[in-house]
Amino acid sequence: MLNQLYQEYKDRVAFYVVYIAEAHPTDIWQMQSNIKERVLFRNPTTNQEREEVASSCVRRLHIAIPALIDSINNRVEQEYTAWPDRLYLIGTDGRIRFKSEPGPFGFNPKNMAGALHAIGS
Amino acid sequence: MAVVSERPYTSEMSARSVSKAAGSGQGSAEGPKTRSWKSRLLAIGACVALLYCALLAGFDYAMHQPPERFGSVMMHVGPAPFLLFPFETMWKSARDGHLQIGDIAPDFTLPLLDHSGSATISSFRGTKPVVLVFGSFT
Repeated sequence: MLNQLYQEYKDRVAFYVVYIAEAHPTDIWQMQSNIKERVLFRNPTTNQEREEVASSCVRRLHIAIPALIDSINNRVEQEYTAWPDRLYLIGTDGRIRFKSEPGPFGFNPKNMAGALHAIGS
Repeated sequence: MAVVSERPYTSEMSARSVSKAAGSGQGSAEGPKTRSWKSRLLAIGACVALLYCALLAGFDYAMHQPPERFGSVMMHVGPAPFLLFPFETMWKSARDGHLQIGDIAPDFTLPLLDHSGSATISSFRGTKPVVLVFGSFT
């Protein structure tokens, strides 16, 4: 759905995926669902390693949205309390207009669609 | 001379008094065995409740830790927290963060994955809203 939102709004809204720390790397908290889907990656410890996993992600999930890479010190993720996943909408005034609940429970693109509609983008 | 009438003392009353004093249970609400069983149950219940509260507080503390540290905890405890605790409610609270609707979004500059350049969030002020999708592959 996020790809769809991107295609619909990309002329009026800047979209970015911000790739952050892995939610379930194999060496920390692996999930059975990841094993089934063959999404098996150790926790990156360098920017280069994170970039490689992110590239794999964008390719396999066919993500159309431009992706940014958070540095391995996770500075941006910490500022936005974004782990494991989260959605934000920032208005033209630079203020936060929408902040989803923390993922995975709160990661709901439908709510983002509603927020985009509400700001009249 | 006034006559104060009173209930005649009977041998039945005497028997009841003796049995009460002896604690035989005859005519009393509960005996010593029942009281002991209930006290033990209460003590066990209190211990279990205390243990649960301690575990809950500990897990809440873990939820507030950085992702790697929390992940390490979950690796060792398995699915138990999902069954024992109100996981989703605790998670939403622990990971709420300090940013609120209406706050100025923290500015940052990050490189693009395709190496075509970088993006600075504040550069869009006055021109376009910005959607940020934070996440990872795993």
